[in-house]
Amino acid sequence: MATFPSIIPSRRNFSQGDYPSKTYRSLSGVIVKRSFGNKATGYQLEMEFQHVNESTLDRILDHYDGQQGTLTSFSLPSALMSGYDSTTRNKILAPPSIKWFYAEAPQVDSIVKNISTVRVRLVGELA
Amino acid sequence: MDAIRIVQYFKLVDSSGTPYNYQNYFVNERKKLDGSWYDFAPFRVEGTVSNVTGDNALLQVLFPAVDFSIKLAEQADGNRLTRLTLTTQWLNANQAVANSYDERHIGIGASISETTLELRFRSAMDSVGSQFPAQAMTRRNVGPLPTSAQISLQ
Repeated sequence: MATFPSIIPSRRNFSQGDYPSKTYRSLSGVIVKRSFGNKATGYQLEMEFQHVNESTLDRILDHYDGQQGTLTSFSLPSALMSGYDSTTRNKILAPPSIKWFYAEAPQVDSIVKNISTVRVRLVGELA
Repeated sequence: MDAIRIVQYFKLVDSSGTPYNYQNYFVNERKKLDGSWYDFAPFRVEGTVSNVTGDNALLQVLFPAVDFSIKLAEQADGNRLTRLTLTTQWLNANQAVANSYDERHIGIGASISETTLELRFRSAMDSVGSQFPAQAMTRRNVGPLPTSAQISLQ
């Protein structure tokens, strides 16, 4: 399980997971929820690395290949949540029993020669 | 009640007496029930619980087709003549047991697809036969007999 490259993103967006459940909605409008597990899942983390050089771009692309794309899980380095204290950082980077996967292949915008912007979208799943 | 929390404990005993215990609610945790430990496994249970005629009900337990579940099916001889005790527990908001009941089934086989392992069971008790209970219809057990063949039991 190779750790994601330790690069500080230019922009990041985190969405916390939810507890697996289904909702039965009656005709009266009353709902009943059925819980299926005691741990949250479906975390999402989107990051943008603006104006990075080719060496940095290669690290991200190589990591994606090393994980066989969206197939295998990996851990996240603390640099991704630089600026937060350790408590918050751990809640985001290592929720209980959560493993991080690529949600899709990294998206690369070529800006000028040797400069690109990369967007990475990850999902945190129980696995 | 606005939320239902149900955990199912799966205890399968193969023909050699080897038990396989799993529960499907407490993720990556081991739970103890009646002196036995149950590991977490993401299985689901589908099928009939009971029917009006008392015929044996078909129950399916679906596991992801991964190493431990395939091993389970192989070691249990393709889930033939295994004995399943399925304990269903209702939990309250503090995850304490509010209610519980057991069902018992007999394994009748298994099938596997690229993602899923399906274990099939039937309920342990079957009706004795199609005429069960084997009694003649009399005035004593159905009341006044009709003059036509149309009988409505209510």
